[in-house]
Amino acid sequence: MRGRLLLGLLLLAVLGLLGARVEVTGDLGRLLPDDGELQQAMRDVQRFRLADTVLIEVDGTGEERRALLAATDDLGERLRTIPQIGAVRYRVEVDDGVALRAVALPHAATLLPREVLAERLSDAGLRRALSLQLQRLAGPGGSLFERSFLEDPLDLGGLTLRHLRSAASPFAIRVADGHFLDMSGTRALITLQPEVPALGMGPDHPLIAALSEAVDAGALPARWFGGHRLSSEAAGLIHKDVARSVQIGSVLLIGVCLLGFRSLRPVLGAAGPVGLASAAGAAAAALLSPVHGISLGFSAALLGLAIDYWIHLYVAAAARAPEGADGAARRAAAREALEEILPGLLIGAGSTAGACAVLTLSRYPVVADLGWMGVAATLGALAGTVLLGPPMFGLIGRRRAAAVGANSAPIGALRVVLGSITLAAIVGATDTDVDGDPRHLAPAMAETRALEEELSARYGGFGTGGLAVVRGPDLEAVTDRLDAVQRALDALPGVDAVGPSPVLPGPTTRAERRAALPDVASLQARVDSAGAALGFAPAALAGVAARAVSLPAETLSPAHWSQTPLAALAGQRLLPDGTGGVISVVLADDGLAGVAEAAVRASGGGEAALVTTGGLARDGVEDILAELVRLGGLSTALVLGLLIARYREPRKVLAAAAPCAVATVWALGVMGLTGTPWNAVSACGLIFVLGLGLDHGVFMVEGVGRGRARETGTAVLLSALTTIGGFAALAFTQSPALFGLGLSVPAGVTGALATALAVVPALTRGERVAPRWLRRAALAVLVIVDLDLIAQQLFYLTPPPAGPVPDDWTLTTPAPGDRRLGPNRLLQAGGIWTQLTVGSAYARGYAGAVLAPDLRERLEKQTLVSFSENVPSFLGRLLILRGTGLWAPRLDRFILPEHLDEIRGSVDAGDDLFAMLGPAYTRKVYYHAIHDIGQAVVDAPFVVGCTGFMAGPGSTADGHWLLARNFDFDGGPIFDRDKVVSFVRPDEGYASVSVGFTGFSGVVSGLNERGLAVAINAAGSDDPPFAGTPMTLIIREILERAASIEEAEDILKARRGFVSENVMVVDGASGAAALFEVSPERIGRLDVAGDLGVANHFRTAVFADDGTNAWRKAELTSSHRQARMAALLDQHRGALDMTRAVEILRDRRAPDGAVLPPGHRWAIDADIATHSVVIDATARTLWVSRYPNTAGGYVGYQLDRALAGEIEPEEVMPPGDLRRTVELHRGRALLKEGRDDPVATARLALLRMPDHPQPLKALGTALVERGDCEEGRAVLERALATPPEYAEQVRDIEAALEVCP
Amino acid sequence: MPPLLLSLPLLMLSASAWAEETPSETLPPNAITAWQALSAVQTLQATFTQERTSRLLTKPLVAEGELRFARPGKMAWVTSTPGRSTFVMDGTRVGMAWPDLDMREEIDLASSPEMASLVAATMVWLGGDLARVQEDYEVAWTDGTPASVLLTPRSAPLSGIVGTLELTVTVPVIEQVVITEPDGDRVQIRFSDVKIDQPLDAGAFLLP
Repeated sequence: MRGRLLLGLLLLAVLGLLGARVEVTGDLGRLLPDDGELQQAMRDVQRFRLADTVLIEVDGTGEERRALLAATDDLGERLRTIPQIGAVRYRVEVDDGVALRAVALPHAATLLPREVLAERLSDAGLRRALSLQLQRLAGPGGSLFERSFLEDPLDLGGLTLRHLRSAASPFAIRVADGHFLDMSGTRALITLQPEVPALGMGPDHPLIAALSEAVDAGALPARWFGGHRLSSEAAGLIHKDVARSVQIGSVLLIGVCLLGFRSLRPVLGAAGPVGLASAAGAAAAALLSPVHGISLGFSAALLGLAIDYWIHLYVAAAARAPEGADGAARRAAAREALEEILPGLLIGAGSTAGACAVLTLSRYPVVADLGWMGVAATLGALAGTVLLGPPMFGLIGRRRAAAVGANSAPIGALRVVLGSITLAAIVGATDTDVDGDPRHLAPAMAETRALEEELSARYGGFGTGGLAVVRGPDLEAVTDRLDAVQRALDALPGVDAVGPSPVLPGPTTRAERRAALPDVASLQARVDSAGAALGFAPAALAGVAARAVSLPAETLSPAHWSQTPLAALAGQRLLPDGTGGVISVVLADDGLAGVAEAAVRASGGGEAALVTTGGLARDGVEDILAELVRLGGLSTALVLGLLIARYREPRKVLAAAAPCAVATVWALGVMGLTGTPWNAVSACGLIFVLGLGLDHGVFMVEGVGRGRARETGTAVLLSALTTIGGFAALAFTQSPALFGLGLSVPAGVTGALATALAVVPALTRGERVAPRWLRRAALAVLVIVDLDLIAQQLFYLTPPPAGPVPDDWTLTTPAPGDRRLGPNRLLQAGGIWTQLTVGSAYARGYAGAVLAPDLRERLEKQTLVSFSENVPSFLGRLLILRGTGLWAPRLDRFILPEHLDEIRGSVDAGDDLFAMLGPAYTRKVYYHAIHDIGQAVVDAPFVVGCTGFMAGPGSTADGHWLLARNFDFDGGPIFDRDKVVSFVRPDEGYASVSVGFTGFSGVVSGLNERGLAVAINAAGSDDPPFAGTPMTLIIREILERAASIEEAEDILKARRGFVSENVMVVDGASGAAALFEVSPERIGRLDVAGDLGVANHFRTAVFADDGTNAWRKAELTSSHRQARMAALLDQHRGALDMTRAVEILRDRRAPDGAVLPPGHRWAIDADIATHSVVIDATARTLWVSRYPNTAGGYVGYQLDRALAGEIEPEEVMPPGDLRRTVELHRGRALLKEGRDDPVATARLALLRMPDHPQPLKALGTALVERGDCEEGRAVLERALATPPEYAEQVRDIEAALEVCP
Repeated sequence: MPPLLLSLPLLMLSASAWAEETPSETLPPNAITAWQALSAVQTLQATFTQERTSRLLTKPLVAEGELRFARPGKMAWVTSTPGRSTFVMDGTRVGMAWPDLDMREEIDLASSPEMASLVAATMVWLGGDLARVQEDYEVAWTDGTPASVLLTPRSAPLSGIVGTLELTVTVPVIEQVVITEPDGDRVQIRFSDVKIDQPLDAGAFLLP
């Protein structure tokens, strides 16, 4: 015995000494998988020091500009005196331009893009440049200007500077009065580069104090942000978390012991086992050092685990030690108890240590560290209990714990509660979410996150960020690849890319530019000619051409730019050894990540990858799920293996495993019900609950087997409570990583405890565990699930037979973005997807799916996301899905066979990633009715709001017939970005073009080879929606089978649609147009004379008394848009052409001509058009908008040429204000997110949606609800004045105003 | 930055201030009276015709436009031919814009000490620091109708830029300025339709 004691004390001393050497780090890399893109991205961020720029904003709101500039200068100067800070930029220096010009001018011929230089050296460009020089000579200061004229007569230096500046700064910052200001001119920016890197920076670093002090001392309010702030705050918060959780955990443990034993003795006696466990855990951390602070946060939980085995021993020993026994007798009783419970202890410790050992296999270093610490602490606790437990019990005496009966009266009630909560947890578990964003693991102050968002909104970090990382053997290879990637990214609308290419073009680019330089003699002749025409003396222009196209022998390197404002562009984005480069990428929205990633991969020659925050989060989710599957599977196998090895009896195995199962469900349920997403660290809580659940199950099975169920129940109760206490302490931390553990493990252990007490004894003995009613309820649930499965089968649609596909159709990709399958082709060019499919319906469906598997996947994912956003309740979604089946059973009977064949072809083409949602064919057939179902079920004014017009002779300039429309569908940007202009050359029926989505056979806007153009706008009527043919497939039939308006009308009358629609039909061949107002039961026709605007309500006499139609006119935005359209048609009558049609579709004014805030739903262009199309039915041409909405510009096609194979689009209208549109999207997304702080969210949204009634209403309402009547009222009154978009909005605002009269 | 021509209109308007604050003993009484009259001018608007004769050009370059000035230091030089351009300054910054070419530039004077000192010099003239003027130039006044003022740089740096500067004045209006440069180039600016102390638009000194 003495030997055990000495061994225990020796172990304690050695491990304690070792544990004192723990080193802690704040390196975010420890929170990421140790391989793969996440870790690589983190290493890249560290290597390129891109996170090391600090931004300071000086707020001069309400101050004179002069005061703002003075405060900025003052702060800038003070920052320059801080020794840890390198470069500080707060104003434009004249010397900046001089330095830039000195570097750039000699290299102008290779720095300027070919087309820019060619334009300058063209005859027109030379005239323009020399004219400007003449004007400078004519202006004040002309005398001094002569010198720079003689140096650079063609102003190539100025041209190069302008090009470099525009390429280097895409953000919403303007230079005014020599300073960097926001677009309103009321805030100034200072950027600085600290000498020390941001990563791993602690809260006590002198830089942090110096920065904060300087910023606080400014004459005007200022705030600073950057990686240094995030790092230091995270480190500080983690330190606090560790201290707080250990304190709270200790208090909870002591409290449990005092409550359970009504004595301090067990607490004192725990010192040995807990001390050894803690020392072992600390020693493991020391051996793993440096460990992340989050791993240390786990210490509190270890305390709870460590005391478990001691409690089991204490309870068992106390039951055996007689009253008044002396120390020796107590030691003997403890030894006897230990021998009896040792098998249970070993299995329990084995299961817990096993679960922790499984965690050591994690790819996340922080989780693996945590696992090693858990293994060490568990074994330490076991060793401490075995070696030090009996002597400690002998030393401190005994106190019997309050016994918990295994068969007492409350057990029945406990089972009911257990069953009810488990059912609720199952429901909650269905809403479980995973957050894969590694940045969310580390804690951050809410104020800092809000500041980050605010700055991002104000300065145009308008979407998600990313890095395109390029690698290569040397600088030349790297710059070559960077050029290619930069070009590929520049070609994508909605993507801003800033890389070193403008200042360091690669060898291929340089060679291309050199090759394009004009001949010196001919250029000089043209210069002389242009100069002579403007009155320049020949001598003044002598040798100009030679200088313009001269190439210095020395190649540019990053060092050349080191003393210029563009130093960071080269210095931070290229590795010093030239083996890597990086381009900063800003995407308008996360959905662009896939397209951009593909572009980077394809253009980078296999040596480039795009890492985006969205991509990181997505990869993180996949990593976490993979970890859970791998480690969870291992743990389950281990648990079952242990149980089978121990009991070899199914009943006991089931009994011991029951707490594991319930614990897992409870853990999942509590996370789902509280809306807390799992993350990389908290996910390991599931592994813990498996091990801990087994622990309790085994103890109970063992106790029942020994006939000591009550005593074991007491021990299980107390040890579970200590575990819960230890982990619950983590719920008081600010670290999301630990917080999740603090919720999930206590919940799981509580479930395991309740199961162990209420169910396991009965299961072990082979008794019934549930009352009859509970068994019946469970049976009822099973019946419902079964009926649901049967219902799915009833609505299962039998696919038509598969058709033939030619054998020689093989998928090829002759160029990036150009995919071919036999004669079928999908082309991503000009910022838009264009497709040509030919052959039978089945073959076309098959080809479309083979060509675009990525588009199909993204689209279906987004469809499901939109569905979830619009119907947040799982039950609601289930009811709609099943309700649709009930409402429209056998939908295929309303659909033409060839359309079903096409759908079958698309289903047969590839893998089905969504098979869990139902059979693919059935699903896709019903997807074709989404437009109709959505309109019928929701009649959502926020989802659809199309506006268009038809115009012909008398209205158009050339007498052609035009159909123009915006298809407004607010289902998510992917429906715009991944739209496809689809040309179809079928074996039967007319060839046509339509604008839609891949895998979608229906048509909402189209034109056929006979010159018949068709488009639909949603409408509404009193007619009840009936199951029928999806309207989009009726329009498809018109395109395929109608050559005149009458034939189109015949089809409309022959088919019965689901819902009400305005159907615009233009016959370009015979020269006529008509509007058909179609409801499930009625059709009205309005022939077009000249022109006609169409929105989302009916106007023929057929619907004159229709209440729904009247409501739509009064309450929604249709009347406003139609009135504005009528006014514009009046204005342009007689002069309409394709260009003017686009101007109309881009109109953003109210009916009276007043300018509306961007995105206002009264506008024809409300920045929600999924596509915008102008069709010249006479010439059979069409112009289609590019993402985003109407702002991305338009591309044109000629139908006959495209059907012959020439599907390359031609740009016909340049992009508009892209930034405004994507900012608006971000604002809308913010409002949809529904964050915790509605006031802050609405303010952020308002930054991106200035003067828009939606954020104004949200802000005003939130302020009023918060009790801030004064500002709330002012904001709401502003919202009323904007004006509001919907009548309902007006009522809501007025109601909110009544709260604050 | 164009210190020379920039200084001319300011010089014209600031001339009176020299006499007002530091009357020069070398100037005749008529000159002092003239400077006093000029010093009372608060705003000025005039059209100009500038003719530059330069070795860079085969024929004189004629520019026409409008000059605007307001105390204490705002100036706008707006050219309509041979192309539209605007030059503005307010003592702390200068800006230039060529609307037809969609180009504009702004320079903060405080960011360049050398340039700032040049502009400060022009502001000193505007403020009537005759002592400073006489430090840089020899000043010769010739009575008459109109009167004539001849400035000749004293310092080598200045004389590298300006040969002589000759003003023709009918008090209180400057009618003509002629600058002769060391390399032989010559600039002649004639003012007409001069409006004194008329209110100017708020945007008179803003870039388009």
